[in-house]
Amino acid sequence: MIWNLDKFECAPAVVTDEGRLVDYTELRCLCDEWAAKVPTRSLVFLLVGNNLDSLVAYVACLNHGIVPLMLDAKIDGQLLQRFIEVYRPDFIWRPGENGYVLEKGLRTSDLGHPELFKDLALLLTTSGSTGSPKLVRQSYENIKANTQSIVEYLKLTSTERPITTLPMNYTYGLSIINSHLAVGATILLTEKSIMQREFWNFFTEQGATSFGGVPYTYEMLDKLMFFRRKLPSLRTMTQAGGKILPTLHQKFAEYAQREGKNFVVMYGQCEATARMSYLPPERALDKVGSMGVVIPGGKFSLIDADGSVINEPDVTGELVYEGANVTLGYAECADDLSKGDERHGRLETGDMAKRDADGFYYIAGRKKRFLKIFGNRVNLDETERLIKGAFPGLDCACGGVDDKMKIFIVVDENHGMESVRDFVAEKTHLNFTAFEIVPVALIPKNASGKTLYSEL
Amino acid sequence: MANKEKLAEVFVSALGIPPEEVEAAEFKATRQWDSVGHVNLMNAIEESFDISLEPDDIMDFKSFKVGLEILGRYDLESR
Repeated sequence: MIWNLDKFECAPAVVTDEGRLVDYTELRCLCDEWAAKVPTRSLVFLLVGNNLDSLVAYVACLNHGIVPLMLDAKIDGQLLQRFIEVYRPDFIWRPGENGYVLEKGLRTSDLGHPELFKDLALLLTTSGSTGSPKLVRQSYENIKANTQSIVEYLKLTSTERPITTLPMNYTYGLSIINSHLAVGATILLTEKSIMQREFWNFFTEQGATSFGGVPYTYEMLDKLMFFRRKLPSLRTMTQAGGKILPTLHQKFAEYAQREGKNFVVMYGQCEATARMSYLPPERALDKVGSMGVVIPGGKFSLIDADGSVINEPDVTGELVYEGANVTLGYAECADDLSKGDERHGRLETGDMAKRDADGFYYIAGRKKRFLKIFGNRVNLDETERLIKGAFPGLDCACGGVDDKMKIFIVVDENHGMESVRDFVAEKTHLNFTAFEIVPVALIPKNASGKTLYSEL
Repeated sequence: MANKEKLAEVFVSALGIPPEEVEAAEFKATRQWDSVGHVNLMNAIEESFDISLEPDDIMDFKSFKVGLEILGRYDLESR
């Protein structure tokens, strides 16, 4: 059991934007009812949105030893089918015409999944957007440990009322739910976006105290002249899901200081359950551009190319994290779900970072070829494969920066530039403005046919 | 060019939709018109009409039709 819901009795656990209020006792009852229909150690796909049905199913699974894979309710049908074929779930919880329904898993063979590893609690996608069925395996201990750290450094109490701004199938959105249920706080559930008036009405009426955002969320807030808004109930804004522009960091940190609120920049990965570092809000202004210090219970180190530990300040190396929230490992097929802990509490993040003389960390780059687009990891090589698969004979290479992928293509009369852009947007479920098509005469390659990205 | 035609052109280029879908375009219902697309659309409108949209108008701008009404409240003629 992850959460002791009974402890908070009649304190409000959830308020929905449809006006439904659920207290902790009722939430416990709803979860018990849900779990009664599903045998323990089943594998269930939860197709979620920020609504009560999704939250109940998630909490029920984690509190009753049922293992969910969290997927977006708006997932592409083909991609869902792929996940079903690869992992063979026992049940699928999805929105139907008249509310949520629990379907029997559509078995593509008579084989179910193998026995799930005893500590396996939760499955999340890594870069599901490009169609890779690779999952992160999180344990009960992972979730408990990370929740405990977050509660501690954000000083969360039962008086908090976070409003949802991130999807529940996204590790950051989920960590907000996890940490607030642990302290008996009230989650304000809405599927409205910050671009909608209804979101702000709900925010003000319900007295939201915090929200989280990826870098792009803060760009949108800036566009909406957020700083002009009177939000007396707001206490804390958290940021993760990629590196925020230093100018925006500065702006929001100044706003927070002026208005007596907290702006907390954080860093994490699904592979570390959710969070690994945070910038204490009182340092937000004098450490602009920093992702802060390691969370309580964790340890950072920087490793150079030879594998030795870097002790001097301002030297870039690969960031390595150690802590109880380092997840078990990946799964790429159903058999992997029976695997145990493969990481033993140590995660090579793949991010390059440096530490200043005061011990604050700064992200300097990435070892692996992926971008964060609107907070989502998008693998560049997988995107290339997707394009080449759909447009036979087309040579392409992907690069660019976060929130703006550049797709270099050798244009010929058979493949229009717009069709490639629209295809990638559709496949990744990301807005097409994130993709820029750059026509080139040829893709530079070395003798063995490897793309020379530095020459693009 | 009349404002309606001009706005329609902005919709086509900013949302990447065919001209015949412009009149019926709606926030969240039109494929590329999500929150990200909305910011892109608002920026494109501000640029081509040389105006700065108020946050309330940005939030109310939910369809082509409503958008046209909103634009009507801005001083576009003198530009």
